[in-house]
Amino acid sequence: MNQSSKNAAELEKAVPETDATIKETTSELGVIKIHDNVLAALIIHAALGVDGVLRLAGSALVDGLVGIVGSHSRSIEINKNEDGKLTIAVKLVLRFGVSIPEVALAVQRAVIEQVEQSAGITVVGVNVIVQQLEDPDAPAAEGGLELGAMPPIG
Amino acid sequence: MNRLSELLKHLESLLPGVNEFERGFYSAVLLIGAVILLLLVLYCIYKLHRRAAGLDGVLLKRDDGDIFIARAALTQAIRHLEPSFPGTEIQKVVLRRKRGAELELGVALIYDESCGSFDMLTKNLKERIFRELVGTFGIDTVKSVAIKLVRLPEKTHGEPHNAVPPVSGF
Repeated sequence: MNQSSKNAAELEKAVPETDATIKETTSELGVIKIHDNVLAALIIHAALGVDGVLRLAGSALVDGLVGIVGSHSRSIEINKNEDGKLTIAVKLVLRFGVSIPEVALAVQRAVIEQVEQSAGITVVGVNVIVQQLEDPDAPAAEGGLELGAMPPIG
Repeated sequence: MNRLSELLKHLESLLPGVNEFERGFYSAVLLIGAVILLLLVLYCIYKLHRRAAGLDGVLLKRDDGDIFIARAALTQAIRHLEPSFPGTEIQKVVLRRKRGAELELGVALIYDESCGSFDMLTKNLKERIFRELVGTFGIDTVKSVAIKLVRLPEKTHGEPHNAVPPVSGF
């Protein structure tokens, strides 16, 4: 074992792999680990950059608390396949009136492009979950619409 | 508890000549059977409840990943149609699976019949909902829309309507 590979092995030990590590590259210069929080930030940036996307779905308060403990938004799900490729799920609130399939397709393409270019990880699919629609120009709704089981029809 | 012990004693009397060990064994088998039965009943109740509540949304398969449209988003879009139908107040929207990939959308609403015929409302609302589903959401798997009038709006003076009029439109 030469000196550079020894150094790389030592560095690898010094930076322990965690479940949150999505990509790890070891070279003679050191170890590069990409945390899933980094990917989540890239995904959020790409998704929110698409026209028609208002915000991530879910509670900002809960996401804030989750962020304090070092995890990423619950609206983003990153799954790493056995071959190191990623499947991403993102829950979004879209603007009312947009064509949902078109916006969702744009989100998929933007996220794939962003993650592959910035992190160099192959993304096999981006599942878009349209959780809500909102009209930013409309006044705040008075009370939510009740969702639930409707009595049998007929 | 007393009833259970009485039942066990009764069952023991049906099995004459069994020793203590066998009695214990049979009691345990009966108890396990009862627990499994109870779990099955609870599971059936849960499944029925889930079925009544309907689907959580519509899944659209695409090359770069799936698009899932939650029922809440569909409800919001359908509720946005209310201003186009005066006297209508949409209460609930539910999605149900019919055959295979075919879905049915159920809309429960309150309608003031002084604003027009309910049959006409049903026809027009269905058309608008289908247009919205295909145009805005790209959903073509919803093959039927069931409109249900849950009640008439309460009058400001006089007694409220209690009787549910006959439902039409599906």
